Amino acid sequence: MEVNFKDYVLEFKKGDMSHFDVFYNSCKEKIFYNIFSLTKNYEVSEDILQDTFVKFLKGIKDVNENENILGFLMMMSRNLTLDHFKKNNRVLQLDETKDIPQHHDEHLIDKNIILEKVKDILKPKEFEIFTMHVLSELTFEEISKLKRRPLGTITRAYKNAIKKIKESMVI
Amino acid sequence: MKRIDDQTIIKEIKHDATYQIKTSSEDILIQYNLEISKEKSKVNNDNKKKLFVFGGLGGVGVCAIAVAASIFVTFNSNSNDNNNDNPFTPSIVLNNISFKEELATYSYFNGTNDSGLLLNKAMFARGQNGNRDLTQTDFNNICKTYDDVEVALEKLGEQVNVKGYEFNDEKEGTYYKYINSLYINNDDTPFASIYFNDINMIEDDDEVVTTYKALYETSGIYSDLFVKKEVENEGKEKEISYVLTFKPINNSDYFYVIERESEIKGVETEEAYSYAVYNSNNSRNYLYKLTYEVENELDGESIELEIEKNDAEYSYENIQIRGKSTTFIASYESDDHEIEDVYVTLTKENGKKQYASRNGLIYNS
Repeated sequence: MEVNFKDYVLEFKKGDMSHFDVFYNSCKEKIFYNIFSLTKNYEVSEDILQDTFVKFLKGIKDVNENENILGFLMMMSRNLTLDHFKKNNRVLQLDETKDIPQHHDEHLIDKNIILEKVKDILKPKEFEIFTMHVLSELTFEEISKLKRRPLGTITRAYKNAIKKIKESMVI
Repeated sequence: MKRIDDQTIIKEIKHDATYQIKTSSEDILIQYNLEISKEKSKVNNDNKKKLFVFGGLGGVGVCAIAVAASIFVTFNSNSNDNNNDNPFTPSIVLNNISFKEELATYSYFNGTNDSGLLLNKAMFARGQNGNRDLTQTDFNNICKTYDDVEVALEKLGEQVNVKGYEFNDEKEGTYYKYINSLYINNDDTPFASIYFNDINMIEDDDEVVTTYKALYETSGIYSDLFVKKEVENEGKEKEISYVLTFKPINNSDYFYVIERESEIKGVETEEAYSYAVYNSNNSRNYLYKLTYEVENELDGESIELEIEKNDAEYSYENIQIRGKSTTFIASYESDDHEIEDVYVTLTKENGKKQYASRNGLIYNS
């Protein structure tokens, strides 16, 4: 269902938060998996998800309701995730698995077996793009803009991801 | 046993991703209200503190402010006098805008000088794919790509000086009020000139945006130049960005975009530069892009270079330039080929350059 974010933003600007739950529930999953694509950690992603929406509301006066609100939130959540790594003195080198947090939320593994396996199979950059496309449902063009990377690089990483998953998952 | 197809993979993973997000809209609104009330409380406390400080300063504080104001007025007054008398005035010299290095970057990469740096010809040469192990061909590609920009990279650190004059004449069919000439170090001959008129400046709260159009000349090549500079101040943090777009007048096939972003946080600065070539018929995707990052942090400096061309990415990390010797770690990635972490040493002797890998591969330039 296409949600009209513009009306909600106008309401929030007036201080009316009565429809915030509808707004939040319509986009929380996309934002969450956008964050998760980088952190690979459910609890950290929850924290950053909350920070994203709190920051969004705090700066609502400066939000242009006519722009792509979902894209705006995606960019904001991504920046906050990168800030999180910086604050924790962690260099986010997406090509090096060793620099990405590899904490597993043990109690969640049973419920997300395939995703857990995919985390291990793919390189961080591939996992990020794969998750953004499949779970955040962003188009390759949107990912390309968000990551400021060429479209070809994005589609190549995604193809590589699919290829690796195919090779490892046989039925 | 059969492999699953793409759509099945996506379907399975979407179905499998059953994680229930715990953060509710109520949680967010509670946190939001909490932070807002904290900030209001902080503002009130700060106001109280300020009142106390000014109260404590009393007459001395007021005097100090008055002296500072008078110095400011005097300084501005002198500055205005100079503007009227001296042709080399700040208003026509680009010293007050620090993108002269970006102008120089364009000249370095597009010039036809004695160094033979013709990157705009070399950059489209397609790399060749080899097998997964590092082959001589791979190594050649990695080194050649670095070598194409190596001279320019070294020049990026050079001092660029500017001299400005009133021009009040036509150049390439357009009237310009001013000309600025750019010099490297103490050279007598300028390597480039820029012709321009008045500058547009828009101030909005904590952001200042400056734009203008100019004519840029280097090595006899004239380009239309569009400049956009944005400065944003946020407390102790400052962000400055420049976008310079060059469109050669006699070659409409390509245009060139040079960007620089500086982020200053206290004593730490982070600088990112990029140089990209676009096909005039497709301004969305670049043909070639060079990104260069310098991070000056408390614990030292790090340099990283990334080059994208022909759907391939070359990255050069941890570049350490020590006199005649340069070391870096290179990686290469294309559609069907990937090479990671190649340790390279570049040695310069008697005008010759030799690149060597740890496993004995050599590339001579």
